[in-house]
Amino acid sequence: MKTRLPIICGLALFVTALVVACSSPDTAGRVDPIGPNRDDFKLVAPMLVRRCGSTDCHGSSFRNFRLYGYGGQRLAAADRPDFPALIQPDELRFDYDAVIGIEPEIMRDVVQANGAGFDRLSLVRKGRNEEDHKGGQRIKPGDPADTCLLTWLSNTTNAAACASAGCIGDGGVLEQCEP
Amino acid sequence: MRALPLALLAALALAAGTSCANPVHTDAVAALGDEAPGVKQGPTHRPGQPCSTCHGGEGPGPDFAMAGTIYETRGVAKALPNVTVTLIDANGDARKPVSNEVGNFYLRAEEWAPTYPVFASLSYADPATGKNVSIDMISRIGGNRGCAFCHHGADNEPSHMPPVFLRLK
Repeated sequence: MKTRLPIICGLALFVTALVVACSSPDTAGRVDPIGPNRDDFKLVAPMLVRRCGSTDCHGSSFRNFRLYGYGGQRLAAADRPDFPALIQPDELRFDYDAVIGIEPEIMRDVVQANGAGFDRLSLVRKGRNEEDHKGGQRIKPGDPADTCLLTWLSNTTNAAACASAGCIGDGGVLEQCEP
Repeated sequence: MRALPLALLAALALAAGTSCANPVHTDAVAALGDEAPGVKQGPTHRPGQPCSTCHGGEGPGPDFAMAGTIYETRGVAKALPNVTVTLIDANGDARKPVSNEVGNFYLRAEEWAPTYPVFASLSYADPATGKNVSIDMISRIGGNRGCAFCHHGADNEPSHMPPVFLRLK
């Protein structure tokens, strides 16, 4: 009998490990991503990539929050940081998912409240440097980039502010607009 | 009798010494390799290498505010001296270092403490044509002090730019 005990214990441990390994996560704990208007994101993305997406910041593949686009990292292997000049459709899709996926629960609440409580988002607080941010202040409260982001979050995207902050001129052409 | 406490003390000192080093930084410095033969440490050493690895605050070199190497043409490994590098920080504070004989430029940390992002442009008085050539960096410098952190390697990568250049091909 004594000789069987280790075998029985080992078997029990194996079965337990198997059951735990095969168990699924609690589906009730999942958060459906709800973000601001996806179509309008094409207005917001140039600003975000320009302000945040340089290759030494969120345009680096080593960052959790990654942005792709002109002037930063590109998604397609054949592209380069400075070519093509506009953010590509796949890059827009990845960037949108990255933005709304940082804090999906808070993003959902903010969007459903038409932008109320936007200052709960790390995206806003870090961009404004209201929360410790290695990159410092990239978006000043009240500047066109700030207006662009906050109006997008409240589903009233200010296209002119986004174009100004993203350095987009007539016909969607990127311009040098700073310093 | 005293051997055991001494051994423990030695082990503690060793552990403390080892734990204070940043292994990632140590590896990054080691990966740069030895100095080129005949070149001493100084303003003309290691052109094209990521300056901020050793001059970015963790040593072993002195801290730089910004440093890099300028090349004449995109994707061509020919350094260019006498290029004025105009750097303007987020508050409009500007510095204009000039590239030396191997293309290197640098600003010591005590000379400048920029508020990021920093905007960069190059200008060069071409002695062959007598004309001034200039180029603006499209994106901003987000926080790294060394050009080669982003500007390195081949000219066909989606994740980084080739070494800093004055002219397109």
